[in-house]
Amino acid sequence: MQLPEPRRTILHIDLNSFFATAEQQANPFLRGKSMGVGMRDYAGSAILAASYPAKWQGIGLSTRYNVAKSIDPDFELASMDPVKYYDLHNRFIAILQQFSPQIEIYSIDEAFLDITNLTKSRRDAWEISFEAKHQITRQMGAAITCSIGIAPNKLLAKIASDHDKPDGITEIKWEERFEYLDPLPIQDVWGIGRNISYKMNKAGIHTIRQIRELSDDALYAIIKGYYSRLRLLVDGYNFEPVTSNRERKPAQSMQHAHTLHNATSSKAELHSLAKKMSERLAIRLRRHSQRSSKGFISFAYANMGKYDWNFAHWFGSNFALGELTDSGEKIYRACAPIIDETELKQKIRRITVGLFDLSIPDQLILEKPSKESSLKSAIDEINDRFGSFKIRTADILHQYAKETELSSAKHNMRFHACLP
Amino acid sequence: MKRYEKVHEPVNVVVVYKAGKTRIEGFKWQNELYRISRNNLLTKAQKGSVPIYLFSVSNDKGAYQLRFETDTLDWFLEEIIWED
Repeated sequence: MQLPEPRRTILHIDLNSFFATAEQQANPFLRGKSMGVGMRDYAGSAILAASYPAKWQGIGLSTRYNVAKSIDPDFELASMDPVKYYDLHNRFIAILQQFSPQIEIYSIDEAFLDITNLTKSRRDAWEISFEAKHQITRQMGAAITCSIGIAPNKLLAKIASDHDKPDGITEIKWEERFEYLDPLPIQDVWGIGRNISYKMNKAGIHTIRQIRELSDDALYAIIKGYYSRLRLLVDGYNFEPVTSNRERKPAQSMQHAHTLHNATSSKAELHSLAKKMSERLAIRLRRHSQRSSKGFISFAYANMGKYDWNFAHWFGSNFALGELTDSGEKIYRACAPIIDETELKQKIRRITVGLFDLSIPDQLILEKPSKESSLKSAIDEINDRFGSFKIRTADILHQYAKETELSSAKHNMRFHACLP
Repeated sequence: MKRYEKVHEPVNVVVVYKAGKTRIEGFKWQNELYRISRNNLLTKAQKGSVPIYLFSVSNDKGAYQLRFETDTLDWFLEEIIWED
């Protein structure tokens, strides 16, 4: 069956090396240099964003600072400043909203824009792209650049914006899509996960063209049920509309991760961190009137290589909360036995606590608030007004003391997650 | 060689408000006047419910971050990155 040709005009706007260029905007001495963003006073810090001169030398996301220094002795590290990035993100979104109300915030530095109606009426997609670039430079700063992809769907728009980085504009017309898709390594295509890439690579298939040339039976033999979806994807089809974040379904999962400045083997320290992260999750649940009954806690050892953040050295366990809850105490109580029972072979660098299967209970509005939930609402309100964790339980007070030791007062400011 | 210094000390600041824009001309810290040649980035943030503004500025000696508190109208020098 022949599928219809997509006829929308979608832009994918991607801020290039966003955290790094934000720091270059703030400090002109960093511009044009090999630099990155991370934890400045820690040699083993993973780099969270690298400038293009650093990327060209092979320094990228999750390279350790000491490794980056060995590659390029002139490499400089700027301290991560979430407040700066959050404010610039808001400016970025406000600029894009001037062009179309159909905007999907994909991450802190990426967004999709559906400009179909605009291009129908009067304006060319290229003209809009140039104007968006101009406004980003004018309102956010000359050091901050973006790449824009123009295409008839989100998948091709994302591939287009990746094509000419930094600071480019690329249009992929429907009839030209295979020129761009075919040479791509499988793992570089949006929508193809690590498992699929692994299975395909194991079968000797490395590019999109190789997948396209496979018969349905051969594809099914490798990846079973996912094959029909993959077939559409490698043919350039994507039917997802640009969905504004207001129209989006509430989040189905959430997590908090904490990277320790000094790796630890202290169970007491891990308990304290798990408690704090459980409280953070509970605050987010209450903010969105959500509850959860399942979650997980995971750990990562300190001696990780460049890419191991995403693969090995992770371990942990899922837990059940027994009932739908938005209580930080209950989340922590489910984590505690896992921490106690976990045998630590090395020091822990990173701890993650997450919740999934989130739901908004139907009867929530009919429930009479308990004394405990009224207290939590009051604490949330006070913390929203005077700064997060101004009121906290005594058992995580020392975490607060450590934070203030490590960071300036600005890091104690309220910093909400970037996506609503 | 760069030197990084976290400061967070009150400072006196010379500011020009013109055509809806705020431009920092200089500040005085530890009895020394620092003239500013570039205003690079203005960031708005929240301290609880109080808006604060962070100005990233620079001259040929280094880059500085200044903080303006809207509830007290106080200015602070937050950090310096010296370019030696």
